[in-house]
Amino acid sequence: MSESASVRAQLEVRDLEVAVDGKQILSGVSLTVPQGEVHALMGPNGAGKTSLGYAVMGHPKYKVTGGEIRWKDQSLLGVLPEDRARMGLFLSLQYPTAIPGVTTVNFLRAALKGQGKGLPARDFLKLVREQMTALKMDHSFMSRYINDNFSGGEKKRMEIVQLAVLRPEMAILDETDSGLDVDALRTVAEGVNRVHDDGMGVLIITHYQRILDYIKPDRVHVMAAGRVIVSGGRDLVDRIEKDGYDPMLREAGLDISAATAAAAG
Amino acid sequence: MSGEFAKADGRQPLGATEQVLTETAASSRLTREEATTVALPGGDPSWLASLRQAALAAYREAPWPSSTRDEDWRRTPQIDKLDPANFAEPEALGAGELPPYLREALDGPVSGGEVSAVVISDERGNLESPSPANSAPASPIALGLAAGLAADGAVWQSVAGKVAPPGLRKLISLNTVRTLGGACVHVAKGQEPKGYVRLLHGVSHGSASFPRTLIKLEEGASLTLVEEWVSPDADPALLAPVVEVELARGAHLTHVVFQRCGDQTVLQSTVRALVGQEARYDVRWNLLGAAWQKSYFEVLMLGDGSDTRLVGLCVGRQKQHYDVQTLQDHVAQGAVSDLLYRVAVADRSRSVYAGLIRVEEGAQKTNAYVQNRNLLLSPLAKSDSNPTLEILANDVRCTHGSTAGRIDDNQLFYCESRGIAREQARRLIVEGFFADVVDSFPEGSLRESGRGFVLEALEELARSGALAASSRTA
Repeated sequence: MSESASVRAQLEVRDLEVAVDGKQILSGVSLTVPQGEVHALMGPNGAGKTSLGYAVMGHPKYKVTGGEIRWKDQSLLGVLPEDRARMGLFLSLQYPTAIPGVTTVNFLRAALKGQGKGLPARDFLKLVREQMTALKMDHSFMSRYINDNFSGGEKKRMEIVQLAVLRPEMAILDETDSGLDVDALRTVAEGVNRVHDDGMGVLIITHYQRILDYIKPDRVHVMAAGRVIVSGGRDLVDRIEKDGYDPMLREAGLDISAATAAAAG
Repeated sequence: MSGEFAKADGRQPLGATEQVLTETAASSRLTREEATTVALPGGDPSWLASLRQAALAAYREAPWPSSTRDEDWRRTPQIDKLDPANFAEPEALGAGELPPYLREALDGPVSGGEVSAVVISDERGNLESPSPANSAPASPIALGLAAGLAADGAVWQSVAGKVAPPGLRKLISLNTVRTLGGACVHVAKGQEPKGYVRLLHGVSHGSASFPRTLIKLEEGASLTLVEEWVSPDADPALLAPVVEVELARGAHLTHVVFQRCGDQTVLQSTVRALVGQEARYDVRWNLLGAAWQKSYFEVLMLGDGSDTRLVGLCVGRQKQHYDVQTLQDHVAQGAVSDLLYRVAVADRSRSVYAGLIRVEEGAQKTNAYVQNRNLLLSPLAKSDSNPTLEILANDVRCTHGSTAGRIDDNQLFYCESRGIAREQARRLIVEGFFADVVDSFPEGSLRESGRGFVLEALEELARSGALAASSRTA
């Protein structure tokens, strides 16, 4: 008992195979993200990075056909998305979904309540206002319908407001940097770092080095053709920036055109 | 057997009981082909008696509607089985008494605001509000049908049967022949009474009620009116209200309808309005209970620059069947009519909608829109939508559209991935689906009532498991 308590919580993906509509998207992904660490997940378009995020969070469209996803030494297979959220997982979407008619503040209240973290109304509103201020969002967004007619950047900032309000233990950030200008990128990165400083693990999916200048990765994984082809230290980022993915794909014995032609990003 | 129902109106001469008994006995001769006219407590004014005779002739002449013959009824075959002969005579009620369901409705959410007048009717005619706590100060603005006609016959002669003429439809004829109560709502020139007028029309189980409401706003007058159609659960009943609205130049009526009938009640309603020059008619409807119903909402844009906004919602469950038909008839120039109707159907319930925008010759610069959105909460729920345009002018802007779909899987996943359980997520999304309708209600207590009714309907769906049903891909 004391032993398992001393084990660090970690997100563990082992030999994961996932299909969408009967089509194989992931074919044997393995990676482990300990809580408190930052890992970057890079790779060409269509490598399966977004699919991995969805599969970890339990999107019903992404069917696990083989392998394992474990969090805190517990299998996530068959666990509902809402229960994964309650267990401390968070997925920031590349394209956050708009829900017309549902205000941001109602959505957040329901989310906190759903996770058993409900607050008295005053404390709740104070918390949301604080986090919106921190992410440089006008408080009027609270009464707007969530993500509805938000700009791309506003949606990304709203994702991080939610992260900061919900305070998960492990967050997958799917291209949270895309569509952000330099200032917004720094604001968003700082928002992530504040929660990370309290021990949250991060798996950050990105195409660019830029956000990794603000959120420093402990490890970097490169995916292609539905699996992780290289894992390593931060130097991998520089290699990718300099030479692109082609040398790595060749090293992994992948046909470049085939590796980048896979369906899901 | 129901001499007491004359007590609905305290102004009866002594001989009235006898007269009422005669009428009641005669009223058993109500069939699909034949009906006997009734008279208001205290007797009809002569013009109303003639109107009833005309309506009776029209009733006899027109065949009962048929789902095979009549386009209006094609998707509502329930009409083929409806027979007005199947409903019982009104039962006696002590003076000042209210049936429990009416008392409950009276104390319901709508009572929360600033109510300037309350008028109540059921199959017996108009009823008095039972306790002083519930009775708003006596107001000349809104009276029961008999009292209103007695007070101001000349005004009502120009409205009753003029906006919704007998013969327009069989059920309008029937209402005209059989109405014993309802309301007369009159706002004088330039007046803007504070608060809102409440009309409560009900029917007891087993009975049939034909409330007639006459509304007239003189030039520049303005009013908010809430109308509730209610009945208890249990035995089949028929509630068939007809509402005639006439808005003079520059008048503004906000008219909010809440329908919460019992699950064996058949509702047949017509709301029909003449909208004058630069007048504005805001009508909102909430259809939240009935076995099945057919409701017409019809606006005739008679004045240049008139403006009508029709916004409605409906929540269907179990085997309920909601049929709504709308008409936006543009006669004058430069008028605007904009309709939005949102429907969520669960279980095996069904929604039928037909909406016609007609732009008459010469009605240039018309802006008219109709939009019907349906949310299917179960694989067995169904919606039919048929918005149509009939345009005889050449300088107009008109659009129509309808959609039907299930709860979006991505929206559901987004909620769930943030820790909102599936059922709660569905509830949140459905509530959101109605948000723009509710937000179009007058700000304050009525909007809160609207929200409350939607939440109550969702609560009912949740209780019956209709929101727990999986919409996920297997």
